Amino acid sequence: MTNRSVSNVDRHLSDVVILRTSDKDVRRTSTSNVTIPVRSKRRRFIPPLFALAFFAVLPLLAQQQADRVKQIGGKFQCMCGCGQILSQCNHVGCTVSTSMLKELGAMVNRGDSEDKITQTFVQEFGTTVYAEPPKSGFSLVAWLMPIFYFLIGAAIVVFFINKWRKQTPAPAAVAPAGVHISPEAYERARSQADRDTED
Amino acid sequence: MDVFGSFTLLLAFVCAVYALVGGIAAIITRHPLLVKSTRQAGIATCVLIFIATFSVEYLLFTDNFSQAYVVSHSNRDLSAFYKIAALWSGQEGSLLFWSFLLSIYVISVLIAYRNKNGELMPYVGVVLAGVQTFFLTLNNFVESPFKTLATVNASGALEPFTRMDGNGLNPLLQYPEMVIHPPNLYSGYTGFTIPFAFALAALLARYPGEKWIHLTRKWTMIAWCFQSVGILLGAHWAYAVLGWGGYWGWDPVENASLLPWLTGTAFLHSVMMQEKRGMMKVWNVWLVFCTFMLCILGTFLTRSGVVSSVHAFANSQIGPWFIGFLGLTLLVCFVAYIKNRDYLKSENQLDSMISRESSFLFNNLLFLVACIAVLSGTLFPVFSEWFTSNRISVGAPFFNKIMIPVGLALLFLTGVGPLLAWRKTSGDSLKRNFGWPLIVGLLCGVAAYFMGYRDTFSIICLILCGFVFWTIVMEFYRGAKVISARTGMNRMMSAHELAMRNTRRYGGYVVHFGMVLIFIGLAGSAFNTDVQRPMNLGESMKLGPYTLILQSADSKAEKNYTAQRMIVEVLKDNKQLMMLYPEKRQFQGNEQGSGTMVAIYSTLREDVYVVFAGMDQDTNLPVIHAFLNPLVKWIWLGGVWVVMGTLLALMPNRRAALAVAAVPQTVASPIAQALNPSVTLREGHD
Repeated sequence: MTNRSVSNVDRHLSDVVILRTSDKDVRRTSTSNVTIPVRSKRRRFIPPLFALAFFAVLPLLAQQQADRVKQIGGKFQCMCGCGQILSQCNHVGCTVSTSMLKELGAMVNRGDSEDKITQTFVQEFGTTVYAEPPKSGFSLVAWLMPIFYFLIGAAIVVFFINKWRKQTPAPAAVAPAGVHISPEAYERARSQADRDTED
Repeated sequence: MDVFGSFTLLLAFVCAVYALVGGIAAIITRHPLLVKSTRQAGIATCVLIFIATFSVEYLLFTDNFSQAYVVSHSNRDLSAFYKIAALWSGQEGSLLFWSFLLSIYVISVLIAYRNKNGELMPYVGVVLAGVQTFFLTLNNFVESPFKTLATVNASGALEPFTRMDGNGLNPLLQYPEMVIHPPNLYSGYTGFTIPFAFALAALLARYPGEKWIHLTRKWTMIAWCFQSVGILLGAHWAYAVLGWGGYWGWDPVENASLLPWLTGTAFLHSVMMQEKRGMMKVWNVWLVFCTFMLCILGTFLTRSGVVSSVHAFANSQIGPWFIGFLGLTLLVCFVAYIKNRDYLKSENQLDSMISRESSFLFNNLLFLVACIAVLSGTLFPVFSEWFTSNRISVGAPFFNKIMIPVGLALLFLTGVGPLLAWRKTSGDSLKRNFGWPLIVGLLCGVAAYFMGYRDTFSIICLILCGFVFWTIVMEFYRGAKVISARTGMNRMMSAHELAMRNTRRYGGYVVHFGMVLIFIGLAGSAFNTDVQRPMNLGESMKLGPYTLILQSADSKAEKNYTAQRMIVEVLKDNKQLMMLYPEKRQFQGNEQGSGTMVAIYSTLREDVYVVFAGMDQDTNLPVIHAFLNPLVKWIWLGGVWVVMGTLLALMPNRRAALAVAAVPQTVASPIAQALNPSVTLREGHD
């Protein structure tokens, strides 16, 4: 099986193409049809290139891991009793968050999955380690309750608005021009208007 | 003095019981002398509680270390300022302080209304005496602040014993705000007892009309203002002392203080429906009942240790007492409601879905949903333990996910409410009123986006802030324009005149403006950043546009503590801004730990918040933790506006009066006399 992928480095060579096989490199010159197996000179560049890439990627990897620690740490609470999120705990002198973060960092470096990390922490500290209730089992109730309150409350409000609207009497007919209202009625209407426009 | 204080406290209990039992007898017999004597017993209860409270303070100030409470919460080196605060730093003292603050309200009510509302006041007196009796029971028989230290001598008898010095005050409480935060919060908690007493009394007495609402409006607003200030001072204390870089962590005790505030705020809005339209009488009565019960629940959560919290400064066995009292209160309220529910018959009529009334209904819905969500979230760990044997914690991420949308919806209604008319709002009116506020809101959102605030909720929040702000401006502008046209005053003076003529309405708008500022501050929290690392002297670190250089370190010995201080220079664009001095304090006395003193450089744009987080264990270098917290200052400014608005709303209205002035009678004819009235109308004041 021949792998015919061509590296960028190879494209700079006008007359030589490296055809990579699984077990050997083969040089084919443009001037002859003779194909002879050789050890590529460019192979010398590969280790430094790898090293360069490694050192270039290292900070990125470290940053990625730090971000992952921060992200996963955001799902747990510091267990010192301060009630803060683990990755945000800056409780002065808190040794608990330091050791928890260290442990979390080690698990992230090992490449443990989020589920595994969660399981480890729950086994170690109990379910109080969750920063927010998991969205499963009994804990789901905590998430559903506010939505339930809102929906029930909104239904009640809409129900009462409709009910009270039906109770409103039809507006009285406008008095024909020239009809006088009594001073008491005028005063009553005026005070009602005052109250209606006060706040 | 301890015997004297203990005796006065016991006497206060006896007087409170008499006020309660005698008050019930007075209501039944309607004997005027009995009514008078129970009122005086109520006043005597308050005076005796004052004396008992001052006795505790006397013991603290005189360093009487034969008293268990003084030993536990004070020491010789504690400054006089903090000896005052030591009163409420412990369980026994704080419960006595509850009684003390309640007594201030009770004595004010009993004296202010001694010759008024004769039908209602005996009932009010009984309810207040009932609450006082409960707290005095705790003060006398469960958590007495007058316990004398004793030791067992050789013969096995108890012998008084005096310690040389005390343990001192909890370091976290040795901060100026802790001297004013608990009194404010407790004044809020206790203050809601007055509207509760009036509401229950009106229901029991079947007191006609809405007078109890008018009577309690000021008391409710005072309690609400204290509660608001208490919450904000607590937030500021957490921000400046705990060194977490935050001000609100959805801690159970913080939540407990928020619960009555939410229902109290709902009540302050819905009460207008009852005053103007005779609607929602049942709802309002239950809102007041719930607010009071949530205050008791808040005290219970703070004091019982049922939920773990950094703010719960006590753990004790008083939980069953509070549960019992809450149950009894609920039972009394429920029975009173069932027996007298026909008295609460409302005139519920609504003309249109788009009206001020509907906006208040939705406003109440959101406040109630917020309250129940916070309450159920706070108590969920306890419930989960009951049902599953596993305690599942509910932290800040849960509350943020629930409360941010609710808060934004409430902010939206803050802007919409004033734009809607009572009864019905026409489409034209909606277009006219909503146009400019919407444009201003959107401009605010665009400006925020270009200033780098790229969080969705924060942008929505800032849009709504702009929207609400402009509705408030429009309300003032329109009113001021009319007054200006009538009186010739300039617009600023006209706006002032406008506010003074309807203090309740415009005070409310000022409070809304304060809330807008607070929401702007909250929007900034999405962009907090921080850096932490051990630093050598002379070393610098970058924090956003700022450079922090650790210049030097020193230590200072104060009377009650020794502080290790870092001197951090703050530069921006290579220009020195200021020096910050974060401290770590080691307090003297046993059982005391260390505390922090955060250094903050605060501007309207952001806070540079620097904490000296101790020494690094590996390198032995000082660890500096620095935060860049945008817009935090707006929260504290908002708090100031909320207080100013409440004070304005509490002021009596200045009314445009009819000023009578003689008009020269130059024309003698009857026709002319008819045309020229003998009085002219002139804008003026009472």
